[in-house]
Parts: sequence; structure tokens; C-alpha cells
Amino acid sequence: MKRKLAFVMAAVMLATVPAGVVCADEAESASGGNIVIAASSLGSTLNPWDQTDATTSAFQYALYDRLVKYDIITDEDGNLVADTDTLVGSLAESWDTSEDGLTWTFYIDPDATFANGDPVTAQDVIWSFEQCRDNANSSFFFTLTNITEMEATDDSTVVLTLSSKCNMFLRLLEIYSFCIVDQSAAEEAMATDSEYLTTNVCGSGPYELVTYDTTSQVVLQARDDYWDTDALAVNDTVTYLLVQEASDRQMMLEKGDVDVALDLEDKNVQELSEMEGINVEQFASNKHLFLCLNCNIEPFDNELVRQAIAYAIPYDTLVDEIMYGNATVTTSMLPEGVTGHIEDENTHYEQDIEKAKELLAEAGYADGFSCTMTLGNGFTDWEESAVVIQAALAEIGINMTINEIDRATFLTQAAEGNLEIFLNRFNPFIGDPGYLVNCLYTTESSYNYYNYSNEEFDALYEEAEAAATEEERLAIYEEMQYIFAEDCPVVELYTYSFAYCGRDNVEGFAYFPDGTIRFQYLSKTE
Amino acid sequence: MESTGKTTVDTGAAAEAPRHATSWQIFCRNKMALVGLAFILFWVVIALLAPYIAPYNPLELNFGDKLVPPGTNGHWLGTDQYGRDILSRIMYGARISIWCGVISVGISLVIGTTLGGIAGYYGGGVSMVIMRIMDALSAFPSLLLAIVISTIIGGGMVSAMIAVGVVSIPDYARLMFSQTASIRSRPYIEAGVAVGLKNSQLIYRHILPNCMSQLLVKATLGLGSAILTLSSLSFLGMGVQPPTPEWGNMISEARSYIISGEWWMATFPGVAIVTSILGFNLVGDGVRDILDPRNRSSLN
Repeated sequence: MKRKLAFVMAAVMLATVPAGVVCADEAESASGGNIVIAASSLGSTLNPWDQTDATTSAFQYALYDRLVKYDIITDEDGNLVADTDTLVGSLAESWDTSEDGLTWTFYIDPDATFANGDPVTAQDVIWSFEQCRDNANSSFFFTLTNITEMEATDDSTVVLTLSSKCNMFLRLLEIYSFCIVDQSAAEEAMATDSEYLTTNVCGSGPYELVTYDTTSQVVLQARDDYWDTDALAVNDTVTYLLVQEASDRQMMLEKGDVDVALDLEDKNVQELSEMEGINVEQFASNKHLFLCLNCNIEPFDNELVRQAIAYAIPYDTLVDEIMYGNATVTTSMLPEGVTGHIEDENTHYEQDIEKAKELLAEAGYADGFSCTMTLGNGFTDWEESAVVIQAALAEIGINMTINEIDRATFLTQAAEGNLEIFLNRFNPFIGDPGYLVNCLYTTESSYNYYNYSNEEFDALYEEAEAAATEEERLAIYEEMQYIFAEDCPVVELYTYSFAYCGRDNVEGFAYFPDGTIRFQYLSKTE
Repeated sequence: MESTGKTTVDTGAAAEAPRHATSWQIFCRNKMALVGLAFILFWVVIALLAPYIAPYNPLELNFGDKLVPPGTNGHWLGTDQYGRDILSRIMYGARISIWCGVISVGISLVIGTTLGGIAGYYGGGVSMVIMRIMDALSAFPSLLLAIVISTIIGGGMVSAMIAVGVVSIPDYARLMFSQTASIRSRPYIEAGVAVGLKNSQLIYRHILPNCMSQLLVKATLGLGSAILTLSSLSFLGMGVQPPTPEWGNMISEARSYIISGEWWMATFPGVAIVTSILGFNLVGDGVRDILDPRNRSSLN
């Protein structure tokens, strides 16, 4: 009896094995036009105002619309990219701006409807923006817009009043926090389930949600009844699979189990681009890595010490060896893709060990000193860069130990502003200098974890944002780049290239500045 | 192996006492234990001589030679992604593993036996409190507990050693407790109390020596598991920090290179861990054989 039972249980356990394999295939068995994407994370919410992870905002971009969107153009390599200089209307057919730039009037497209058939009204827009303003995760973007009043003068006209000019106003309205949600449907559903929007959609976007399981996959289906008939999705369905290990994602791409694989290891990108059946496209992004030096902690409070460190770093080694060429050296406070970027020998540093030693001696540390870098784990290139930096600093007498901790703890500690020296990374999804400086480098900036405070710099920022013309504004940012390089509160390291890796029968990948996929342009030929 | 001294008389009726095999002989009967000893000696020698015999500086970055397979350019075991020589890093890693292993076991041994001894000797409320705390500690899965302790103290080699040491304290405490409790009631201890010996003298001079044998077995086996737990902590990023070479963090860094074909980065540290732990386990078994009274009999 016992033996029989054991036998039956063993058989049952063995029988469950193929089930796992079958599940993975199911996603692919749909007809052509089903794009399968392997990603390292599915995020945690569909709610546009709770969303904090820019990479999974791809879902919000697919399921909802915003007032405006970027136009798509073809760049010199023949790749589709977002035209970051031109925003065109999405839900807003057109708009007017007052002369002083403080009043914006948006006219909603009369054909715009939500997936459930309700028309998109000005009230929906205002309600959505109010939710954005009131939610702790999205309010930061709302405050950047300087909106103080919102009024629906009629069902399809929204008037927004700003407290002061906002140079990136339209660009801000393009991001996921400003998705327009169906007020009546959402309020009704949230009356019984306050977390309704986390797993459900009340949107007007080109896709509808079929499956939302953040532990395995998200499946979206293109809507035939999407209101913007010029912008229908060119595929039928999109399956976004959770595959946590980069090596697994790569294998699935090589075998053809998935059509697109995201976040592959830099060292494999070159190899992949040469493989048959695979298409790799590289784009310059604005995501950049920098070495932060705490200006409140000795000896990093000494400008000469910071400059010495900047002269010690082997920038080319980092780009060529650690990033395998999938990055470029950042040559200024503003990465190359950010408007207003300038580049000359006074905006960045190049390795010069002798100069570094001289400066260190001048600062009074001829014998060097010891310090500890707190390193957040999770990114191979951070870990490897840390080792290279450690060796480089050792050459000028600085003995840096690395203390590696888990990412969540690192983010908390960094935010407290007491880490001596650490690596950090920033990806401005808006290529606007004011956005970047406001996030990172003014005394009050929310991400200024290194306590950089220069009154002259802050004053110039205020002046720039109030400037009458774009030319004046950019001229001020030029000056700020020189000041920043001299002060050197952080050492700019490299700017990541974004590598898109997909099967060669997939077309239509358009690169957007936030690195997020817009599914509606992807199509597959069998 | 030859017998020493007189041989026994076949008829067995005569009054000669049977010859006891020496400890070494018993140990040597167990071939696997000898293999284990060879492994341990190998690693101890490597650890001691590493600074003199390692062909390269284990910390030196050399991108020109990065990721070369074993046998290229004088790198017998290949290089890692920074061009550092794997053989040299394994040799220096031996120093860390063995040294940290010894210290961790030392911590568990000293603290565990003290606590267990006190609990076993004094009995009553004291023993209840101490042994219940030991039970609580041993209820946690050991690696998890080590991770938690390491995180609380803060990362690094020292906190990893302490964490691994603390995790094994209950094992030694329990052993000492049961040994002490049983010996405590023996006549010669009562005699000692009657004569007026102090408690500490009784514990150290009379009780402890009787427990030594078992503690020794446990410590030997414990060294193997300490090295494994230390490597696991380093693998997870909590123990030894880069760029210090340690077998566990070498494997961790090598994970993404296994699939791209640079198998040597993970394989050799893995072999090092396996052989060193195996060595301690086999020797531990051998030592247990020595102490097993059934082995203390005639050679036939």
C-alpha cells in the first residue's frame, strides 16, 4: 500500500514538470503579429500615478493616452526614433498658449473615446491631473509643471494656468504620470475597490488588457476600435514575459522563443549583433553614471580633492572594458542628448595621474587618505566600475574600500545624504537642462544626495528658468556647465547606450528618451 | 599497516592484555580520512605560502589579458573579467577561507562550550534560560540567520566571521550541556565537591577534558561548514568585499560568464570549496572513528 502511494505521488510530481514548459509555449502559439518580449521586471502597478518604475511604464503608454505625444522620425542610421523636439497632439487636437506662457488652452479631439465608449472630456483630464497632483509618487512631476489652476470651460476645452513659465511643460505632459483616466468609470470602480486601477484599466489607449500577472506575464491586445485611426497598433497582441536572469533572456532570444529581449548584458551585445537572425540597434540615451562625492564630509569638502579624484579616473577603460563600448564618456554636466549640452576641455576631466597627485598634495593629502564607497548591488557595471575606480584611486594614494549593500538599503542611505563616496545613475526622461539640474544639482534638489551647494549656481538656475528666450536660457546653462565642472561635486563617468535586441523579423522599434518601448509600432513578419 | 609490539596469542586463553591500536593507526585504517587530510594539508600549505608562491598579484587589474582561458600567457587557471590571475586569487582566497573558518569555529567553540558548560553544571533556572535561547537560535535556518546577523552588524569580513560563529554556537552549547550534565552526577565530581574544589576548577580540569573528544569531532566538521557558509555569504555579497579574493565572491562574479563560455572563472573556485570542505568532513569522520570505543580493540 505504502509503495503504491509513493509511486503515485512520484508520478504526480513528475507530471507537473511539463506543465511549466507548456505554459511558456502557450504565449507564443497565437498567430503572427503577436510580439513576445522578455523583460527583467513587470513592475507592480498599472496605476499611472502610483508608477515609480519608468521601465514598466510601457504598459501605461499602451493602455492610456495623454494630451500630447512625440512624433516619430527616422534618424541617419535608418532607425525610428522619437522626435524629442516636436510634440504633436494625442488626446488634445490642438492648443493655444498665452503670450506670457502662463495660460495654456487645450482642445480635446472630439473623436477621442475611452475603451468603454465614453467620450474623453475636459473633466476627465482635470480629474486625472488632480489625481496626479495628490499622489505622493507622481506629485513631483506635477509640481514641475507649475500648474496652479485647472478649468474645464466646456466639455472639450481645458484651461491650465501656471504660476510661472515652465520650459518643459509639453514634455512633462507626455510622461506616464499625466495619463488621462476615465473619471466616471474609475470612480465607480474605486468606490468598491480602492486599488482597482492597480490591476485594471480605464483608459483610451491603443491596447486593452488581457492578462496582468506580475509574477509571470502581461498580455495586451490591440484595439480595433481605437479612436485615433491614424495611430492604430500594427500588431495584434503583445506578450511581456518575466524572465529574471539576463542569460535566460538572451538564450530565449537566440532560440527564437521571444521576439525582443530587454536589458541584456553589455558584454554580449557585440556578439549578439553578429549573430544570424538577430538584430541589434544602438541608441544614445541620456542615462548616465556618476561618482558622487559628499561635499559635507572631509576630505571631499575640499574642491582640490574632488578635482584630484576626477583626474585619476580612467574613463576610457570604463567605457571600453566595463561597458564593452556600449557607452560614451560623459563630457559635461549635461549628457550629449540633453538640450544645451556643450563640450570642451573645461567641461570635463581626462585621466592625468600626475595632475591628480599634484592636486591632492596641494590639498594637504600628499600621503592620500582612506575612505569607504557604499555600493548598491544589482548592476554588474556598477560593481565592475567600482573595482576599476578603486584601483585608480589607489594609484594616487587614496585607499578606498568598497562596502556593497543591497540596492534598497543603498537608496535609503543615499537619500539621507551621509554617504562619503558612492556611484549613482540618473536618466532624465525629458532631455531638458532645467529638468536635470532641478533634480540633481541645485541646493534644494531632491536627488542632491551629495550636498552640493553653490549660491552662484543656484542663482543662475533661477535666472535661466525665467529667461525670456531659449537662447538666453541656454547661454546661462553653458556658464553653469563650466562652474559645475570646476566645482566637481560629482565626477561624470559615462552615458549608457541603449541596445535594442530583437529577432530580425521584427520591425518598428522606435527609441524614446526614457528607454521604454512603445508597443504599437512593432510588427513581425513570419 | 604493521602491528606494534607483541602479537596476540591465537588461542586467546592466556592473560596478556589485548594491544590497543594507536590513534594514528585507527585514523589510517580509514583511507578516505587520509585523502581528507591530504586535502586539508594542501590548502593549509597553499594558504601559508600564498604570498611567496602566487605567480601574480591577485588584485592587479590587467585588461590586456582579460578573460583568457587556462594556460594562456602564464595564467595557469585563466583570468577574470579584469585580467586578474585566477590561480593567485584562489591561493589568497585559501588564506581567507581557512583563517575565517578557524576564527568562526573558535568563536562558536569558546562561547558555545562556556554557555553549555554553565548550563549543564549549574542546572536549574540558569540552564533553562540558556538552553531555551540556544533552541531559539537553532530554530532558524543557519544561512538565513547568518545573513540577518551579517546585515545587522554591517557587511564585511569581520561581520561575516562573527555571523558564522554565532550561528553554530547552539551546536557546541548543546553538546557541552549534555556531556556536562551527565558527567556532573558522576561520583568523582561529587568527590571533588566534597573535597572543596572550586566550580571553575571542576569544570575546566575535570569535566571539560572528558568532553574534548566530541568537541574536537564537531569542530573539525564545523570547519567545513563554516567555510561553506562564509562562501555563501560572500556569494550573496555580504561577506568579503571586492576586490579581496574569496572563493564565494569569485563564483558570484563569475555567474554571468558561465553561459558566455568563460567556465574557468567559476569552476576553479568551486573545486577549491568542494575539496576543502570534503577534506574537513573526511577528517572529521576519521577523528570520530578514533574516538569510537569500538575501535579500541585488538588489531584482528
